[in-house]
Amino acid sequence: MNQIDNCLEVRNLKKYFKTPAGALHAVDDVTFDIPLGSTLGVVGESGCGKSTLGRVVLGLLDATDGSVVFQGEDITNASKKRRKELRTDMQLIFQDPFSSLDPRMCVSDLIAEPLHVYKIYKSGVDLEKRVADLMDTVGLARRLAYAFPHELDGGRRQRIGVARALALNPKFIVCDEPVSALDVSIQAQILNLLKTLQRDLGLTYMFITHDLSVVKHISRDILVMYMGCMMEKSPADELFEHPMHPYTKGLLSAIPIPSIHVKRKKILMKGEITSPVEPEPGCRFAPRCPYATEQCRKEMPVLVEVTPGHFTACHQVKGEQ
Amino acid sequence: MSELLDIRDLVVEYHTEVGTVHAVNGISIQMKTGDTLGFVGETGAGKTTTALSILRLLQIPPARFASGEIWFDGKDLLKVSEKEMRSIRGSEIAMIFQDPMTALNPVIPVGQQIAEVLIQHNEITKAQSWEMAEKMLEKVGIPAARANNYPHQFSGGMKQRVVIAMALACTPKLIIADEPTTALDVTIQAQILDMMKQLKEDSGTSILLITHDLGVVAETCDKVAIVYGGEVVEYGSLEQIFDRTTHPYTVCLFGALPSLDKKVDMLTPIEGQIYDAISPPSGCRFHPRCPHAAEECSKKVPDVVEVEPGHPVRCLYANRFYAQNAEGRR
Amino acid sequence: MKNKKADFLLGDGTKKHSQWLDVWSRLRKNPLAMICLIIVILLILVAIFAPLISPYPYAKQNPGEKMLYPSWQHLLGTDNYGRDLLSRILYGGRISLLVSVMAVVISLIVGGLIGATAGYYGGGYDTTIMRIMDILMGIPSFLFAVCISAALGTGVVNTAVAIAITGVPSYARLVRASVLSIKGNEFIEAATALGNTNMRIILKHVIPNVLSPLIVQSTLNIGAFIMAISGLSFVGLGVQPPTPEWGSIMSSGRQYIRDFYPIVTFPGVAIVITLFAFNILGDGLRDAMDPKLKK
Repeated sequence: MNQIDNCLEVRNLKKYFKTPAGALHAVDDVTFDIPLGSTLGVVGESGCGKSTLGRVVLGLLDATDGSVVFQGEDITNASKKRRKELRTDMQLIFQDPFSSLDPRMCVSDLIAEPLHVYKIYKSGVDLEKRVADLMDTVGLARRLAYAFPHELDGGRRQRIGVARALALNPKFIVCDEPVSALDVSIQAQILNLLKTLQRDLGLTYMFITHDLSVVKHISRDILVMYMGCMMEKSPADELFEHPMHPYTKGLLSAIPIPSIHVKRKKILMKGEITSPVEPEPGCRFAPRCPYATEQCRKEMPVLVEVTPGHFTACHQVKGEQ
Repeated sequence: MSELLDIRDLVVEYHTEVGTVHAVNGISIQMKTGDTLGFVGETGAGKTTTALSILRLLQIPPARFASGEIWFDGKDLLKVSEKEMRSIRGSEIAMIFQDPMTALNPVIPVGQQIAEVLIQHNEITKAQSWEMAEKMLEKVGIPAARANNYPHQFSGGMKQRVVIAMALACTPKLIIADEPTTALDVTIQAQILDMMKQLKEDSGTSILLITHDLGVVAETCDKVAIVYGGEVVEYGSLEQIFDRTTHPYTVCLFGALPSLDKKVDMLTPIEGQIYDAISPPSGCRFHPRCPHAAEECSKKVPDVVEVEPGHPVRCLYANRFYAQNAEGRR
Repeated sequence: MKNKKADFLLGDGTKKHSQWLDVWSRLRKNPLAMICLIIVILLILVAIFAPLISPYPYAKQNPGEKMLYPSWQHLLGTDNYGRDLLSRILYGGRISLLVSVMAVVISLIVGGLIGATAGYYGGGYDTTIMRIMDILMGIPSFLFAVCISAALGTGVVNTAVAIAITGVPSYARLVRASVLSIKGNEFIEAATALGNTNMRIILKHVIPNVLSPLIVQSTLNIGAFIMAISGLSFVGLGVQPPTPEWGSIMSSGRQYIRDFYPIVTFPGVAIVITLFAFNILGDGLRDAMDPKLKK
């Protein structure tokens, strides 16, 4: 495959945090590609390492092991200076539009901040023009330029977050749960905005969320994570039609469907996710898995391609298929 | 009166420095014993204010009950004395809060927290209350041996189980659950909802479930009230709301959800901003965002129209939309 | 230029108002704070124009007019050397206000920067700095001030510095605690993700958000520092007699407190009014600077 086709290539990425109880395996051996202009959805429950993954990819956290290749360039150990340059190409949209905006700055200052930091414009007029353009792009009325974030509702605040991320014309954006804090009606507005921007500006997204219906809507490929490990990776539609990993199946069956005619058999998973501090060998999901065998508890399953493009890490899958 | 809970034209306002917040503008709901009512709406719709009004837990001032009555079990809760209210809270009406992390006292073992609720409302000894507390914990799927543990020794889902055990301790007639699973992961949410359903079947308690998630409603409720701008805009049984959706707002709510089984390129969001409770729009409160809004909508406050028995809708064109949508959305 | 800008942004004619104008318009709506602001301004004017408005020279002794009660001749009476109390209090305000405000500004800047960097960077730097602050706090602050001003010598600036140093640790602690709570907010991470330098983040995002507790602490400190100055003057350090200063006037009158009230009372009243005005003004400012309270 041609190098340029992939915006991002992540190989065997690991991020361990030191804790008093031992190393916390927040991200453990994660490998994926994101083709240019497409969206990878990363799904998992809280504490599965998905947000850490996003930050390691962006270089906001140092990787313990593995590599991140962005547009053909290995940026895993980039210098501080290069990192700063890279921020113009790689941006982050935050989950909580309430705490991710400085309450003492007005809308136009918030949007102009990245432009100030990189000293893009010399004249104030050009700067204001760009801010005004950005406000139009994300659908913020210009009259709100001097409003403060607390005067706006969640949807408009998240639009500010999107405008800030777009200010430097990035190519790749990590969206960390950008709609989880929003109401349904507003969530749809932001999702549509992100999709339109992707189409118009050719953006590549890594979309981190816990909401499977959102991820299905926006992603081309989906990566399911559990306790730092990859459980399953597949094109979005394929994943929902033929989930293979028991964890994915459980996750899918746990979503409440807003319809009274769809009747599904529920797979109730016992127990809860624990924190992967010095994890035992064996499948991370084995303690909650209804199909776990002796082998699952002793041996870590590797990610295998079961059908074209559809990878899963489970000892039991081959037999089932 | 056969209703367990009967809220009539409740109006609650908050007086703040920036102006009067019209949080609840004439909400009326009825609940029968054993019902699970889903109270669905977005931020600022007045859901939580209504719930706190039932328990009279609102801070007065800034809040003010402008008018309305809340009849519970033959008593108007807005008129009873504070002392009587205290005996109702916890024993007859219990509340489950959204965040299990903050709803428990971190320095008291969970067993004791449950036991204390029991002692307050029943004439029992400490030993008896402890025994009952252990039983309650087992009921919600926590081994009795863990009654001595402190909240921080439990995970989020387990804490919510403890909170539910606390709410159920005095076998209340009504449980108000304010977004009980929003802070939890999907798989844990499924466990908790399953357990709540089970417990409800066993005890026959009525539940007022406040949520924004229509999926949760479809799985747990018998009746649904859709609230917007401090008013109930549509009310009915699950079938009425899900299959014969009438109010444009409800239709939009369904439309805005990304679907798991249909592939669409763009979602259909509800345009505009969330209802502003400080300067509410004239006429129908939803008209600035309504795709079918006519000129009349901004002038006339719509009355409630009963489009079929037990299915009131607050919209000027309720009958027309009912006829159009009754074909069935899916 | 102006018009061009308007085309780009000012959709409904709202002007970009400076934040200070906002603060001012909000402060104006608080009548009590406005009264206190006027008092503070008056105090400052009096301090500046003391030579012009005081009826007598402050150091002129008059043995024939010792310890007179207030009269038309001496509005606030005279002290044990026959000096006019009103004149001494007017002049004394100069020293008390100047030194305490200077001390507050110095300790605010030094302590604020130490606390902000300690809280922001954390780790070993934080531990080292804060342990040093703990040691400084362990020394009784008056004793500490005495030592420093003994080493530096007397005089207005030296006194201010001596007192300021005693105030540094409490500012450092306060700012560090506020910074730690602000640091947890996502907007700091967002600023980092945009490539901001650490100094810029501290100056642009952290400091403005920790200002409110600082303002309250500073107005309280002005009062405490006025008392500290008088303490220093009393032990012979600080400001030297016959230069008047509120604390030293009070302490000189303490032996007559049972028989002759004016010497102790009037400077005391001056201190109370000053403290009250600064504290209320501080509260008002804190509220006015919070954009969340803005209409």
